[in-house]
Amino acid sequence: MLKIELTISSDWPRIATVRQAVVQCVSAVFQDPALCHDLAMTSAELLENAVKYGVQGEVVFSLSYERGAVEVRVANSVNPTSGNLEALKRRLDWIFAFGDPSEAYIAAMEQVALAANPERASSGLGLVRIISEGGCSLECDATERGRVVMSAKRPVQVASAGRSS
Amino acid sequence: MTAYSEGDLRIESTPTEHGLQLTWLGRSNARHPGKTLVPFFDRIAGQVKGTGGGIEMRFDSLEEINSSTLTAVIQLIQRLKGSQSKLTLIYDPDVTWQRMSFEALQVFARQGLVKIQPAIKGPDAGARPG
Repeated sequence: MLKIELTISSDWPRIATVRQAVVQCVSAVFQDPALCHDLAMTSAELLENAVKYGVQGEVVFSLSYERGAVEVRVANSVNPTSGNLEALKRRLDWIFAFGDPSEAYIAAMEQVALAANPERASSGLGLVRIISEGGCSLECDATERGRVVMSAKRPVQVASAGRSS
Repeated sequence: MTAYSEGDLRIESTPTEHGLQLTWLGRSNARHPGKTLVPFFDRIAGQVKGTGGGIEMRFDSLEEINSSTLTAVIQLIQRLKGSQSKLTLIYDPDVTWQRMSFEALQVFARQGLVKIQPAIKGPDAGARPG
């Protein structure tokens, strides 16, 4: 059993704190350093995007393990007129068009190299990292009023879950 | 000697017979790493320019990197395009995130812009940072 739920303010330094908490909690349940890193990276990349492109306010973060899969969810609000929501949807469509996540990762790196605004392109790189390096599937649920919930899921073998009492 | 220090990231610089070795240490998790890393890279490129030496960046002791930092590394690769200074990136192939990120960066190696190599381990790996 693993369930973390936190509501934090959208301040950059808090991301590192959440990341460390993810590493500690996941390693307490799973004896798998690579899984710990992947989930910590996934958590940090989703939170970084929420802080960069969301409105200043609260970000709700959760990580849970249930029925053989770990899910990381980050919910926040974006300004509906900022264009950030449309950019996110376009980016996800672009990523999902690749059959192989590693091909998407390479293509995203090439885009960064050619981008007029590389920093903007880096958020797309973060999403691709989550599916390629993190081995997760990604889903986005967004309302017209600008509430965005990003979900990253990854199957985890039950055998690697800790049994310690 | 510490050549760069910002937040949780430190980069140590060591002159070698082939140029300059930069060892990345800690965690690279800044919001705008390019703002300080890109000018730092420009300074380093200026130091080796005209010496015939290259820049070797060792990431194998780095604990984590965010996509904004990967973006700054890609910017460096692009900025050295056409330069005489050769850039080599060394990573730890046993660390999943390093292997996956640096294997993806091989796209720039195939374009002849950078050399990307796994760290040599074992008793002969004297140069590997602690």
